[in-house]
Amino acid sequence: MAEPTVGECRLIDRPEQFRSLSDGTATVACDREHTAETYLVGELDRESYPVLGEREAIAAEACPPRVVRGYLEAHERQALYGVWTVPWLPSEQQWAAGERWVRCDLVTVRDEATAFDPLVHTASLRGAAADAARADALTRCYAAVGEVADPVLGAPDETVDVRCDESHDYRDVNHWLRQETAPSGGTAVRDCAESVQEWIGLGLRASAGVAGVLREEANGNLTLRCVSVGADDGD
Amino acid sequence: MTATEPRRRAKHEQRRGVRRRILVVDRITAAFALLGPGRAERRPRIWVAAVLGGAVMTGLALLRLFVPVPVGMADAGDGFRLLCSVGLANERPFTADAMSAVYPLWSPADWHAAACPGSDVWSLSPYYGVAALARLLGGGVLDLRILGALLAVALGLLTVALIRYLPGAVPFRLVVAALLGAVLLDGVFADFLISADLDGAVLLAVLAGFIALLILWGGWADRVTTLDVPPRGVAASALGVLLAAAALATSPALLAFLPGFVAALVVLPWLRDAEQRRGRETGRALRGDRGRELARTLAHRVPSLTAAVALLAVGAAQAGDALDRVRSDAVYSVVFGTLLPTSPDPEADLGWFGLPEGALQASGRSITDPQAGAVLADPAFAAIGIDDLIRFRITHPERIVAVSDRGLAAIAQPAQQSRGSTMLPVGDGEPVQDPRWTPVAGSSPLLLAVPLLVPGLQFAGMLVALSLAFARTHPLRSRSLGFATVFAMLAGWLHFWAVAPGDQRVLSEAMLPSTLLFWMGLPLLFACAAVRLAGPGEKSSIRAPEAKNALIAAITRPDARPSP
Repeated sequence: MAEPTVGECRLIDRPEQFRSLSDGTATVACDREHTAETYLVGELDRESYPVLGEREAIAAEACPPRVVRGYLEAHERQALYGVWTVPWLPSEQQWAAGERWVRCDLVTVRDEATAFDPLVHTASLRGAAADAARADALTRCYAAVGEVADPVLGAPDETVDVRCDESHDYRDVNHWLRQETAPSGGTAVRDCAESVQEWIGLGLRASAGVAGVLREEANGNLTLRCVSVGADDGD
Repeated sequence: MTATEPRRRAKHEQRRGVRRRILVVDRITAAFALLGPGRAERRPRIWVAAVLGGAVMTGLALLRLFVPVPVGMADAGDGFRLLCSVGLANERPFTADAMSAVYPLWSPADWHAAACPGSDVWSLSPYYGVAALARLLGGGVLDLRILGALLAVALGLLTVALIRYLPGAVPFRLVVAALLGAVLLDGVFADFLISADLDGAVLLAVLAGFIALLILWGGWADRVTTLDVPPRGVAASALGVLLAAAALATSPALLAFLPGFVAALVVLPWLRDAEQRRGRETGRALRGDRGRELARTLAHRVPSLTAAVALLAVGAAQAGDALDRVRSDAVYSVVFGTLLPTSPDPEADLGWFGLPEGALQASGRSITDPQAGAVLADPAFAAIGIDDLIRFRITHPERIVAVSDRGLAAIAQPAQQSRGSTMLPVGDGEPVQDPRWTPVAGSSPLLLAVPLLVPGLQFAGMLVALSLAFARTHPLRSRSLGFATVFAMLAGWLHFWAVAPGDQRVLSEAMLPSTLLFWMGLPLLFACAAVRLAGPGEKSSIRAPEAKNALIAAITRPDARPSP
């Protein structure tokens, strides 16, 4: 297994391959079918070979999320959806020989809410977020369930998270505000207006208004997610 | 009424009680005589019955596995390790849970680096041979349904051998084979025939091991080295040794049969000679005769000793390979999966193994957990061997009761509840077990409710089998059933104690060979009792060779001449 380089693509398409810390899959041209794209080659500073359960810790240490955003050229006001960072290490033999590189791969999934299921791409994702035509496949939108009148979409069954290349009603502008209680519609619009304005300034899509999606996150916190209203804005 | 009246009545009642008991014993004996083995019949009739019995068993197994829809056993990860090592990958949706249902197709794939962790099974295991044949029949793709059909055929062939080498009349042999088949076709065992796991092959290897014991203890090699050796004796002996070797090669679990195989090959000739001496005219042998007899005796033993050494070599290769493969995983799962979580003093246990106190954080955690990472990297952990685990058990006998309780519970409750047996996920994707033939699984409530029922039945079976094995009035061919049952049950116990201290999370699956041997023990108990109570039956095969003519007789007769 040779030391990897940034921009390589690989077709890793079996669940068992993702249950290992090292991967020797051959590279393919990025215009061929692939599921993983190397966006960073980092280093790990430790002696013993890690176990699989340490994968998240390795990713946090060697594959920082800001580098992913940089590789995708995602603006601060673009919320990414279904983008996974998967770190790969040298084999145990290579590790024993002193190699400590970490290959940080970018993998996108179909649905964040269900089991890990990588999408197959036929083009490189480098700079994709800056391209209006390709950004939708990487960014977070919300689809309304039924009629929504209030700009604060509080009930969990009012909206669902989707990728922006799927049918949607709101775009996340990557400004999430922690709340103690559910805010009023006016408060939400006031708190989110600036970030939505910034998002409009990117010029990728137009906006029909400002709103907020209220969610109880996995850690129990209540969060207001600022969104731009409009389904196929700018298309 | 006189004073002696109550005493007389009591005596009368006592006599009636004794008569009643005698009557009960008579009726049981009569029932066994009815069910009993009877006399051995002509060989052609036995062969016909054996072949028909094997065909019926294959048919029943195919019916059990495929009608109305195929059933099997979902993969819990072991099947993947087995098959990825031969370049196969399971065809299923990316998000499908492999444990929820059976995904029967395995197609060629290139595995890189650690994605395929490698197989824990010896590369010479017959499992790989059957899998390769199934793959050939599937055009390069391994279809587990073809594998299941091949294993059903193997079950039929083993049944042919079983019926052929059981003692007694044809109906008796068929009844015993049918009862053993009824056990093997239970969902707990038979579902593994359509699975990527080794267990299907292991369960058939248990049956093969029992048949090998039956043949090797049946005295078929009596006259292998004499000129009038019957070809069937050589063929039977070769079959016995081959079945034994195949069983040993299948899995380390089958090493528990090794004592029975070796004892048969080493002890049986001495047993036979001792019995011959008892029935021989006494007299002082001349020196030349003694020399010739010694040479003849040694010559007699060469084939069986060679076979014993060969089986020991297979066993040693299997054991050595297994120890190399599983040391790290086995040590971790025993210490951190079982010992520490159930220990009254985990810190002291860590100290015993030379591990630091911080390692306690990995107690009860999986080997892929971050806490396990620190333990695996510790040089003190690398120094722990299987021998240390054994020494720990020996020096902590107070924990034996808890270990045996968990093992017996695993035998009583063998169903794999977390794994589906259907070919497609059912309903919400939770594993579903097919209920088409489950007398073994259905007996779990009874075995769990009655304390010590499992060991009680095992001891009863062992006593009956021992009483048949050492019944000198019976011919060796009949006693072979007793010996085979004794050593099969011994194998069950050895396997039990090898597995029971292991990882509790997968104990019911690891215990399957012991569970099968326990359930096989029930029909064998009755078979042994029937043969024992029915009397000597067929003529003993332990006798001086019956030479075909006087010349051969002169060459082969081992008896010493009476002193002049």
